[in-house]
Amino acid sequence: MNLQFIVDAIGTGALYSLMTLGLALVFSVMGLMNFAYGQLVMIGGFSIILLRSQPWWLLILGTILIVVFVSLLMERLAFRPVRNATAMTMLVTSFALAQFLQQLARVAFGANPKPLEQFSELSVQYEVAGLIISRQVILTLVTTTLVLIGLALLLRKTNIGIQLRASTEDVGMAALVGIKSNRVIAAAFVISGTIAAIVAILFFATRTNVSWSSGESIVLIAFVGAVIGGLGSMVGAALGGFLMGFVYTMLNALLPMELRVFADAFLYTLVIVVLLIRPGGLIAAKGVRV
Amino acid sequence: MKSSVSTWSRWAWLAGLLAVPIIIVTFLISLTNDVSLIQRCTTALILMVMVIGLHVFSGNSGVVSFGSVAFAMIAAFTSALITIPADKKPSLFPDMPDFLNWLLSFTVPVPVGILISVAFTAVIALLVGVPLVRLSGLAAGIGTLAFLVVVQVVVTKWKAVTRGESTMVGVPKETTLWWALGAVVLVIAIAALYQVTRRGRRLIATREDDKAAMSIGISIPIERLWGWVASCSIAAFGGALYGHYIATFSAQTFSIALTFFIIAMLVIGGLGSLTGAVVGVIVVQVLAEVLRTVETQGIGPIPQIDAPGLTEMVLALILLLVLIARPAGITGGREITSWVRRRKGNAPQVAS
Repeated sequence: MNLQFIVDAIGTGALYSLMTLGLALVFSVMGLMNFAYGQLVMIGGFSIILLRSQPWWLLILGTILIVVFVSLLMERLAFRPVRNATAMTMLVTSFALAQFLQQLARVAFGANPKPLEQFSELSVQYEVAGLIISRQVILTLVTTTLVLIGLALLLRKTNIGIQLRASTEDVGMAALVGIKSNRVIAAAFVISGTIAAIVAILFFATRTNVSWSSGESIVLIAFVGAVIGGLGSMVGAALGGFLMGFVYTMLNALLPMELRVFADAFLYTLVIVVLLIRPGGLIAAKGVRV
Repeated sequence: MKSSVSTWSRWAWLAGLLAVPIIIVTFLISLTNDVSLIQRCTTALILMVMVIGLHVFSGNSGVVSFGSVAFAMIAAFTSALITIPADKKPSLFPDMPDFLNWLLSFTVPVPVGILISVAFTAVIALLVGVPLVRLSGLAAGIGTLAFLVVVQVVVTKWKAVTRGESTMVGVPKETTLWWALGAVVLVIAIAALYQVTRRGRRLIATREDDKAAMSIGISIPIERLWGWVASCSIAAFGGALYGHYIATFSAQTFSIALTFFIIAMLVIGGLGSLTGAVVGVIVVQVLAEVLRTVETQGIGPIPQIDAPGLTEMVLALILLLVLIARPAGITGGREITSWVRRRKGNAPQVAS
């Protein structure tokens, strides 16, 4: 039996779980589903084009810096004023922001996708026990693992991480014991931005172009992944995102040909089923209102 | 007896204060004979039907729904399938599956088609609603969003019935400005009636305080289901009208972007009030129209600016600023009747 598709499914799942984490982190701290998150990945894509001729470390560093800067700007200018509004208002604010950034990119970079010179060093493939594994998949897996470990350490061992977790549990209480909400939320946006930049690098490494509309599908996956994984739970978010990527790739490989075009429909039907059985997500965090 | 009189008068005031200005403005616009202005006005009125539809559920229940466009889409395609002239159908749908072959043999007039498609969509809304109304908060949002994606994928890929990416063509183009106006007035009357009478008051009670509502015997799933089916039917009505207005459409017409546009209009107007739904549509549509004019010909001192995406960008920016300045929306979730009454001094306790 050909197990190739499992390798691909794990690769996609790992990338999706990263995407989901970046979105879920901000949600858990301030209850905001940031629809503009996908646009951060899109901006990361354009940064890569801008920095394509630079050495690889400068490309990575530069992309992260640009995306984190935009992420912080978003928080300061758009989300801080509506922080105390209803979840619906925050959601619509983030949507308006996403629209703005998307159209800004369209005006700035043109309606046609910008070509991206491929990273030929990443498409090198290895054969292990009959399975073909590309460097890009290995890089994705290693990076995801490192980011997960890094995030776990950050949240558990550092001061800001512990403050972040406290705010996740109860923002009001955390503020009462002297945790500065502004700092914690800014920190969440920095981490979220960093993850978005890493996702951009891994995602666009295999693409041949970047378009102003690149961010849309990404945020949809992250959004859904975060909710079915379990809101407010980082492990849940990683799991939810992973399952979205894994199941989607599996459906594409295993469904009979004539049903394959409906893979998305099957995936999202499964999402509805999961929600009906577990409305709080697979791993529901305690005390999170859903 | 007294309370029922005041219910009717509240209904008449709310529906009247919202509908009369719209009727007058539409009448004035029709007098201009400006084809493109009349087109924009028709589109705005149809969108208003959909936004009011969303308000009936989301505004009254406080539960987010991303699904209304899915029902608009189902109704638009259903109505198209039964109103396209029978002699055109075989060439448009050569691969129609056997169990739907009966669809090819007949044609109904457009008003009948719209009625049937709304009824059909209402049944689907009921079936989908039974499980979905148990969800609240973001789970409800994602559940309905997932439903929208499912409908979109099916409509895009089930080429034999929906023509997929090659778009629905040959749909009778019969929606006029007056049809759209009639639809808006009707829908305002229905939505106002719903929220001043017992059924709607119960749903609003679950929004304000779910536990208190349950304690006086209100069943949240049942009230939400009523609101949901009413809301989806109104959205379907809007969708069917839209289909007969643009005459050529595909699943891409009923996109997630349109969904958010509709939600944005509702939230900008003020979530929770019918007035908000109406005001949101008017404000956003007028803004969009002004920006479009700038992009195509310039206004006064502002020269014409030619950059695709600029209109949408500035519109998004303005929406963002409105939300930041007034997170509760332009109306703050209050009805137009509350201002009128306050000005007349009938409710001193509110004024103080």
